[in-house]
Amino acid sequence: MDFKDFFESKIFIVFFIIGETILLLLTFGIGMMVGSKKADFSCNMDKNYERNFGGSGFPEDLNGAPQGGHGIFGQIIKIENDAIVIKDSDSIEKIISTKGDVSIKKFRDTIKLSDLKVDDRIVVIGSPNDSGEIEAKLIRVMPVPPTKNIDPVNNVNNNAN
Amino acid sequence: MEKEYKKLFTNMEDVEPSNKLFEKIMLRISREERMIVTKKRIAVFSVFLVISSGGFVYSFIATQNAFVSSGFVQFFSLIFSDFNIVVAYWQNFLFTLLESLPVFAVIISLVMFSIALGFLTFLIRDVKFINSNNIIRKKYGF
Repeated sequence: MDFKDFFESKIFIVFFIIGETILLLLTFGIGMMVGSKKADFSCNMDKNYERNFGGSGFPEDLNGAPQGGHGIFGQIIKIENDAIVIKDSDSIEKIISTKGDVSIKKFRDTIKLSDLKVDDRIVVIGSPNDSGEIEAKLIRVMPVPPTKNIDPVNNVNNNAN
Repeated sequence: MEKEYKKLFTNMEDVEPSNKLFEKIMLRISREERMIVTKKRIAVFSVFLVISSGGFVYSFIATQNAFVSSGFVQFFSLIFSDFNIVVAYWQNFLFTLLESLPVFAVIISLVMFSIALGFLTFLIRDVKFINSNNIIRKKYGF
């Protein structure tokens, strides 16, 4: 039996359909799981929004857009005790808790929380808690993109300092 | 003289056309009809291929931007910079990647790619048909 016969055989078609169905169900299951985690975190963020950020509850324009609670990439806008407030690319503020065992990395060095500065761009991996915060496990300070903050007149990178 | 001609033509055998002549004529007509239809299809598929390729390029660029803006690229880059920590917290890392995956943009890109590929397949098939027809015409003269 050559390849053409094999691919056109009924056994192959049956196995192909079964495989496709398993793949489809697996993808659906993963989607459900991720969606459920995002919904949980968004719900906790919503419940604790007033306590965390003040104001009058979760911003309306975020309704229907569940937020991921396992990682965030954004800019530090505030550092307070063990908590870091980050603004992500959608301008959504999230609180990062650094109470547990956290590795903070900058280039090849491990740095302290106190070395972090406002406006630093960081990537955080962690897990969501019931207070709508992300408990950080890894914080990496990202280098500033070279195209940003360059003075076009003097061609000087203002982020170099 | 006239009589001799009459005699000649009455004694001459009738020239019978080949048995396959009708078949050949019909085959040629149907082939020409198919050629006309195929040329029209090639024109239509070429236009659709250009449009769908443009759509694919646009959606591909949009997907690239979505990967960057969602943070997926930055999260993924941690594999190279902090491999040991990523392995230690692989579940959190996996969820982070899944949460930041721009699924909708990827689906749109794949759909556009499939459409462009489909039109390309049809186009190649039709061009092959025209080429083979031209070869037959050159070789056998019909």
